[in-house]
Amino acid sequence: MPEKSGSISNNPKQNQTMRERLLTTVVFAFASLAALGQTVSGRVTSASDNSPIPGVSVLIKGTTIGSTTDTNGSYAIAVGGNENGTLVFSFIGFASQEVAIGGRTNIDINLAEDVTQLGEVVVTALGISREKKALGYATTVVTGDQLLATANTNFASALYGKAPGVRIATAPGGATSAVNVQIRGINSIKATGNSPLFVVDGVIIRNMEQAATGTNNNGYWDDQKIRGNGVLDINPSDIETLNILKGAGAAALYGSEASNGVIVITTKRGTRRNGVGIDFTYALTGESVAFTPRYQNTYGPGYDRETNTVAFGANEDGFIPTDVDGDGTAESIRPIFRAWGQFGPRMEGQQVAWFDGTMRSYSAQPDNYKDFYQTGSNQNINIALSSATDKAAFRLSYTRLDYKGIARGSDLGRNTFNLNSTLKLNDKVSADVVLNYINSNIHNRPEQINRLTANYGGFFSRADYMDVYLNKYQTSTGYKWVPYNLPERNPEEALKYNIRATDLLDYMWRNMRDDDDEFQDRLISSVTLNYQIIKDLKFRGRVGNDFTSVRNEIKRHNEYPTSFNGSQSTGGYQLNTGRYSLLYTDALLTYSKSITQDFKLALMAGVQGRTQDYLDQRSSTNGGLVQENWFSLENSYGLKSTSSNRIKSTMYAYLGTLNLSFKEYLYLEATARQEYTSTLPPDNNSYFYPSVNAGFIFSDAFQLPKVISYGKLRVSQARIANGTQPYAANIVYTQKTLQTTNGPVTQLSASTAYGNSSILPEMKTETEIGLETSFLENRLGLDLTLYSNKINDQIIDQSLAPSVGASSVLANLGELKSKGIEIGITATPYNNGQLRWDTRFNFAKSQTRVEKLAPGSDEMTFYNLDAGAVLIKAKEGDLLGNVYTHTPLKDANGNFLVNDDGYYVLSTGSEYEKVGNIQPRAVGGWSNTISYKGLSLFFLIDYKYGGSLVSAPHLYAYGAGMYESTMQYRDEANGGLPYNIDVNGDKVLANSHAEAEYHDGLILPGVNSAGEANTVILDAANYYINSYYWASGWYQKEGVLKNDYIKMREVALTYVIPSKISEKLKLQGLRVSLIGRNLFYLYRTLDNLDPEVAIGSNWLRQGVDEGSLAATRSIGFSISGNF
Amino acid sequence: MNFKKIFAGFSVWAIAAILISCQDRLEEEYLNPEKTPTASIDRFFTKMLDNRRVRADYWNIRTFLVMHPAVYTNVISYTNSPRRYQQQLSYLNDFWKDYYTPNGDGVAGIVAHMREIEKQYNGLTAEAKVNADVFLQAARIVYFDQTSQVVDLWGDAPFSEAGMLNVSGNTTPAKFDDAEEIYTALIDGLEECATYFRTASLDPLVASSFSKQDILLKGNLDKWERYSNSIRLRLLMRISFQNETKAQTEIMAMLNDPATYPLVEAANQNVLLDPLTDYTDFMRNAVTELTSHLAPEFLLDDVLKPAVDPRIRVLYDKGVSVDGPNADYFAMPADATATEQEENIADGRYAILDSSTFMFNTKFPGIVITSAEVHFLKAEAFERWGSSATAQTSYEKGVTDAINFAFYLNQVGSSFRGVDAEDAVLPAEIAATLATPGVIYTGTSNEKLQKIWLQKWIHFGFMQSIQGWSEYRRTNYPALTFVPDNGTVGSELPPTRLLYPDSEKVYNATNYAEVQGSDKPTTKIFWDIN
Repeated sequence: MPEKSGSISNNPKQNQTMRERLLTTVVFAFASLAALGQTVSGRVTSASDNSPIPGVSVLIKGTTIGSTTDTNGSYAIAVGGNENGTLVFSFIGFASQEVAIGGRTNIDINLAEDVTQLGEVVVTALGISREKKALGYATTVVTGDQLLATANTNFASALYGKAPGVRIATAPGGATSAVNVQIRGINSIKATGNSPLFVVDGVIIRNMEQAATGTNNNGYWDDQKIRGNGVLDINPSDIETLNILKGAGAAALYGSEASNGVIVITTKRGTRRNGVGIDFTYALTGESVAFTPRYQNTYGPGYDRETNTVAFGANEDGFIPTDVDGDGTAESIRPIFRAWGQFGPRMEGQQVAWFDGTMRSYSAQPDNYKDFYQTGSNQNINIALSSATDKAAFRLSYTRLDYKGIARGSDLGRNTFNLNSTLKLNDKVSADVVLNYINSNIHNRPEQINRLTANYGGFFSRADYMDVYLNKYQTSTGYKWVPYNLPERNPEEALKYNIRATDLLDYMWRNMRDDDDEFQDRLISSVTLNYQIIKDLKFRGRVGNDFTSVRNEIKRHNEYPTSFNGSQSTGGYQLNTGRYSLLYTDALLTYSKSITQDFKLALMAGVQGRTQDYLDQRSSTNGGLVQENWFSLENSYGLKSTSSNRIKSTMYAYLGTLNLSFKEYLYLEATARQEYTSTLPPDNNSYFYPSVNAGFIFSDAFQLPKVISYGKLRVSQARIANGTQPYAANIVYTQKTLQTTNGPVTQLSASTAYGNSSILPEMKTETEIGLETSFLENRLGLDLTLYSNKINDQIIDQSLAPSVGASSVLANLGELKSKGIEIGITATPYNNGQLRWDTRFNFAKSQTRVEKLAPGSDEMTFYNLDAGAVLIKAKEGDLLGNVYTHTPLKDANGNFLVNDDGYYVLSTGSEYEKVGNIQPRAVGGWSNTISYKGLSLFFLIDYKYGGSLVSAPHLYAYGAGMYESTMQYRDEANGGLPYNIDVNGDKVLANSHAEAEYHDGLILPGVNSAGEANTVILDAANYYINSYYWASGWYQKEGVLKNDYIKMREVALTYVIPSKISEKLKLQGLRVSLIGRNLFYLYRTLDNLDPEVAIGSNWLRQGVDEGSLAATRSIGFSISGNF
Repeated sequence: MNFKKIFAGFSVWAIAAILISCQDRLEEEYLNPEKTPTASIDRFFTKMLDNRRVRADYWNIRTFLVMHPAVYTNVISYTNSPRRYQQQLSYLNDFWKDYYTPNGDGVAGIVAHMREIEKQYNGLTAEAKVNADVFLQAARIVYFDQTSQVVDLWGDAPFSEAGMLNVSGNTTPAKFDDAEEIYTALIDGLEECATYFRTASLDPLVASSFSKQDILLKGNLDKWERYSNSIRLRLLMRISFQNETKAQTEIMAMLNDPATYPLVEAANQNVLLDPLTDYTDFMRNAVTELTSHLAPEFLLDDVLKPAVDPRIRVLYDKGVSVDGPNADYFAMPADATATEQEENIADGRYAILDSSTFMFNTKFPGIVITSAEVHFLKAEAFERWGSSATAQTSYEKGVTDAINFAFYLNQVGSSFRGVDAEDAVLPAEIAATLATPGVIYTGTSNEKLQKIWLQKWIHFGFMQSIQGWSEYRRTNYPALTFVPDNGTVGSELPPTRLLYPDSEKVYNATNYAEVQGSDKPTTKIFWDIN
């Protein structure tokens, strides 16, 4: 914390130790009151988090009488004859405030941080600190306190709505699931993702998991678990500030991979204080399933009447006559457990034979989806020690996280150690040493529920009792559930009947019986040497390393006794180990000189290098386990299998910058970078790119009306080039040796993802203009940015028709063009010194178009769902993310065509219609802090407008009649038409329900092939089942959904315990907060899905639901303070 | 100051170290250390043989055979639940991709690797080409054989322009060639290949390498010649109703000159792909997951039992019900409700696929072509265009070889858990079966043909049901009945061809548009004119 200067101290005890200070403060407060007679006292706290601010200067306006606040933020000032004067509170980094005394003796005050105040320093590219006002491009700084407000387990999900143009998407599943950060819309259409570069204390960190394709970008079958990403390991408690570099201009110096933006994180340092300070934070929250689909609770399993009776032998009601006691007479009934459709009998509490062998009531279990999950919890403890002297400063913190998610069987424990130290070797040389050590154990990372929602084999209905599944997924002896058709494995416990949701039982078996443990040790370290060589010449060298060692042990239990084995067994043991190292180095030489009083110059030249060295090894048993449930590679039935994968890559660059400033209101910066990468073919592996930006503070250059406190204009133009993933361009073959009757024989396979030896680096060019202003003495601020960029030769995996010879080929796509706008408004609408309301509103809009495709292709398909039922594709000039489906055919008058069977006819083959776009039109947030004395309420609302969600699970569940919205037509009350069935089996419309046997009829509005109005009666079950089925369904209506939302993301009610009380506990700055995250939606367009159901790190996956996990809500409290 | 010197030294060293080491590294790190940039014709050839669509592979049986052709030919069981005849598009896509593109273990990527071989071959010197010829020609036989199956299943398909990425890096989508033209190319190509093998003499080193890499026929040139001629015979017979003149001329030319056109005519000439020696899996899960493992009614009750066919004991086990071992082989009735079928399945009332022959057989070979099929083809040819007596000889050889083959499969699988093979089949049993009314070679010419086709249908079973389905569609025999699935609009009954997979439709849209009109489940393949 900066030292206060120029104020008059009246606190003679400033150099006491903490302990002494604790004891004497109260005494002193009383003493000073008694001695000085007419006194005003009070407390100064920060408006953002209500923490006390020590060292604030308090001055009676127009006099030299002053005071400063102590460590509790308390002050006392003798006002003498100035009872009607004005107090001026000022402190660096905060907006000064003037308050009339008005005869009061107690004045508490909230100081707001001043974002536009001159002299604010931000950390920019390559860890270079610069004055914010000198920057020619947009950045957003978020402080550590803002990240901690509601005890998020990671910093990225705490960024919702906090920075314009930054879209956060947290994958469901809790603390182990990836949080995707997307800056300025779609910067890349690569399969690998859209993640910005994360830089911690100057070192680029590894953000990806093992897979080179990013996290969860290739669907369920590629990876069933909901993966995390590297940002989860960065402890929010250790973050001092976080600076988001959005545009190419800001990121140009970082080079490749910075085209998605950069997030520069600075961890907390030792602060100057007496002795050693101890800060602590404790947070506990409970996690529960937040939003469940709106299921119908009336009808149970079954199909249409004909299928129920003819195929399943059910009676007209839809029940199968059942012989329970084995006497040959069917004295009981049961529902069609095998049906995925929900068009069976009404659930009215009938006693039916259940598939577990009991008799149960056939009645709705509305909470059975919720009961599939559990209630989770999240406990976070952070303790930090810090100290600083003239020679050295350090901060050491320890954080323990214990997390239990809503997915049964999964939990996470994590220890984080952070050491941040600075050593001043002499006047000219200093060194920073930062160490982050993270150790974690994830047990049974949550699996996607794709098998339960995107697969008819996992559909359970509202008639189902979750306790039956929880009871049945394993037998009493710990083997896997026994299907009805293999009763010999366990005649007692085998399922009685063939059921539908066998995949639910399998899911439980995998996730609750088996063990999958991920152990990770990660060390992020950096050493920085600063050397002031001569007055104007400075050197900085930095070496950093992000090293991770992982071990993943998977224990699969035997599924049935080994006596039932064939030529192989069941169960298994797998051990995966990984070693990921990222070494970062840079060296910069900076020369800065004031040419004249007004004209300053700085030149910088440097080199930067980064190498990646990843190793994955996998060993597993093969063909099951010999001895039941003995987990060892030595217990393998067949030959053990093993494989490894190595990835190495190197990037290095020469770079230089030129900075000019004139009179501290006009700034110009130019950068250049020549980069080399091993990921591109040797002929094309180097590229050059420059950038230029300027900042002009017109409020300093010209005399402006008083209402304008600050005004700055920014302009920036930059280029960034990028290589590709290591080895993606290779044209190589996979070799394998087969064990054959000819002995070992070697085969060679071409690649299904074909390389490209002439791939070119991609080039992104961006132009940005911005305006920063503040009005009314900084009570209202506006930050506006407009940008446009284009990416030439974007490198993509172009999907191919199999007949070309491969599934995809690496290719340069022609040109992508984006433009966007970002608006940030800050305001203090109300402030009377006691009650204060600060608010901030963010808005961003970004659109990306495909300007040119690769030569020779007329369209490009990025996503293909359900055998071509839904495509996300683009032609030249199209917005990226257009969704196409087959749609019902219409006649010339716009009437739907109905076929002879009575159904709408969908277009086929290559006839698609555009039905949506997955790019959001606008994203942003609105945060508010209302504080009154020691109490403050913080809440943050974030929103997304526009952008479709493609959800096959929604279509399937709709066709299965799961949702409340599928009640239509089913009975008289829901608008079903009355009809009878004549002797020919044809449906005949009845005049009234009283005259009809059936009440679930409907006639689709439209015309038949003869052009006449359709009169064919369908029954509701057939309508749903046949109109909304896998691949052939009407996806436009139920599979491509509008996804807008406004969500109450974070709420924190904080109370700063009065120092009188906290000091009795020998604590200072004690604060208690009630916190809630992801509380509720103020508005949403999706009824049956959570708006944030999508997983995966690339732009495309953010618009697609393939069945992930339920969303959660967290509610709890936190306590923090210091000794 | 001393520090300055140290610092200067350090910084110069650091910068130099970074740059020098980086410069070398770029090229060194460009290539994936786990893969090789060196192509090799002989190794690509082995890859083409290691085909999960030929082997008794879980994925192929579970997602392709027992969900499609085996259902459409009624040679396995399926419960009468909804959507039983519906084509599973994503699994069809897998089959299609396995043919065109490489994607992991056991995926032959026939087209891609054929083109990789051609690319390498074209770059060889004339001398080197001579040594590579044997690999090229053997690969072409496999390619033609596999291609004919794609045509039989789908009809028109990318052929002449397919796989160009592997030749030239060209990613232009391929046109769909006319199915009949493809067939002509295959029939002509197979003749060329057979001609090569008739006269081939290999350099000893090449012969040694070919014997090693040839995991199908162990480098036996005679067997390659027979394989080529036999597939050609199969394809000519397939077009024999659509283009009888050509079929008759070319088939009779082959059959009248056996010295020039040797065929697979004895059990030891069967073209079978041995399982890998470290393969321990078996097909139990593949056939039980969809309850495909029960004896189907028509096959067991109407065909095998009346013929007292000895194969019953190697095809099925009687099974054990809740009341004890079943007294006889009971088939699952085709027209019972799914519920009734399931209840009886749960109670173990139906005969199930034989455990040694099928369920637990880890040695089940990949069946490419057998002598039994060749004899049936010959029998049909002689019956239609030659002497009925000669036809009878071939027919009876066919039945005998088919029965022996089923027992062979039982015998190779019998090592499992000490279970002995079923009693070997006695010649008298075969003779007795051949004398039963349904099998005996009597009646009108048409009845005789039907008997040939029926026996061939039994022989193909579910493991060769791709061939079985083609022959069923060509001959419309045996007369199968299917319980319609009226709840599934559009898939009430089995189709007559497979639908094109979406990966081709979507990413090859322009060319697909040319064949879109015929992309219906009811379109008939060109040879299916009855």
